[in-house]
Amino acid sequence: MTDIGLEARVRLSTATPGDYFQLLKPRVMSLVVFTALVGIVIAPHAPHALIDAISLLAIALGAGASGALNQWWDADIDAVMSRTRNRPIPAGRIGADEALAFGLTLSVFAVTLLGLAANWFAAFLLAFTIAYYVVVYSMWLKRRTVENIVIGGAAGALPPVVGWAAATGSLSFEPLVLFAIIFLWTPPHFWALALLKSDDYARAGVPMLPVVLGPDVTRRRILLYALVVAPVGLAPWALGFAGPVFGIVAAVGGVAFVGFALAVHLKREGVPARRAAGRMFGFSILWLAALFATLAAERLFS
Amino acid sequence: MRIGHVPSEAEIGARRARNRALGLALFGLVALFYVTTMAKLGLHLPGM
Repeated sequence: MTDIGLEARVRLSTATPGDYFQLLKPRVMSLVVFTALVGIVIAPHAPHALIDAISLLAIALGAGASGALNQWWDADIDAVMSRTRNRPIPAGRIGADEALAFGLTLSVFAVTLLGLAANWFAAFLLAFTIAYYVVVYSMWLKRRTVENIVIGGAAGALPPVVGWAAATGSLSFEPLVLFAIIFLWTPPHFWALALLKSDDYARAGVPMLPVVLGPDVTRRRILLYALVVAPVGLAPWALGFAGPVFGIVAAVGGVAFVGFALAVHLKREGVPARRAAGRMFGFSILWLAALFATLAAERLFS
Repeated sequence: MRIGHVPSEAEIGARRARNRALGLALFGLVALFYVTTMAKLGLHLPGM
């Protein structure tokens, strides 16, 4: 028996803690934390700073776990997309099996922590959110259907619902309205990005709308969604759980949302088209952040 | 004579950083469960 050849295969990982942090998709995680925080803030409960903070941490870790598992599953397509090829797995800094173990461990930890700190209903919702993102969106929808982000968007829309459930132990129509806002916001947001990165998606074989049905259909759908999401953004004010400041922000923001979508629809060629899509993508983030921040601020300072 | 893989400086440095992060994470875990338990039981934390 010899160890010749064994030495050549053995190599210790050079992954740093920073690489593992990158596996968590910190930018996505920050949006999840923000929307979940709003869910907690507007929930009718006796605030307990420590428990609420631990709940938020658990939701953040759950989101990070989803990101790690998503990167484990999508490592092959991440490797061929310019936007994602420097992620830790395709870049060779972390092994796929390490990412899988990391994601699963973190999922169990996050769900357990939320169950112990808040309640097991919220923990169930967090587990459902992780499973939905990884299994339903990443494994099932993303590579199979052009409606991948339409249906898969539910995962990104659930954090305020989980936050509300963590605070109250139950559900109500308010978090479901927040769910609806994010759910309807997701397609135009990602389609604007897909218009800019359609070559990347085509190379990776991901059936995003511009790749399958073309940019003009995508532009029309962005406008249609904008016409729906703008009035839905007003729902918290119309239903009485947001105040007049929110109503103004949502009304002005809604008009601007439709305006940016209209620009995407009208500018179809060259640099102006790319610029319009880029502005739509950027503004959609600002719109969602402004709505949720106003909702929380009104509740905190009223 | 050493048998097997001799880690490079980069590998040793990365492993050390991972070990430290793991240690901190474990410490954080213990602290988190302690704090959660105290809060759920309605007990006051020392100094709080």
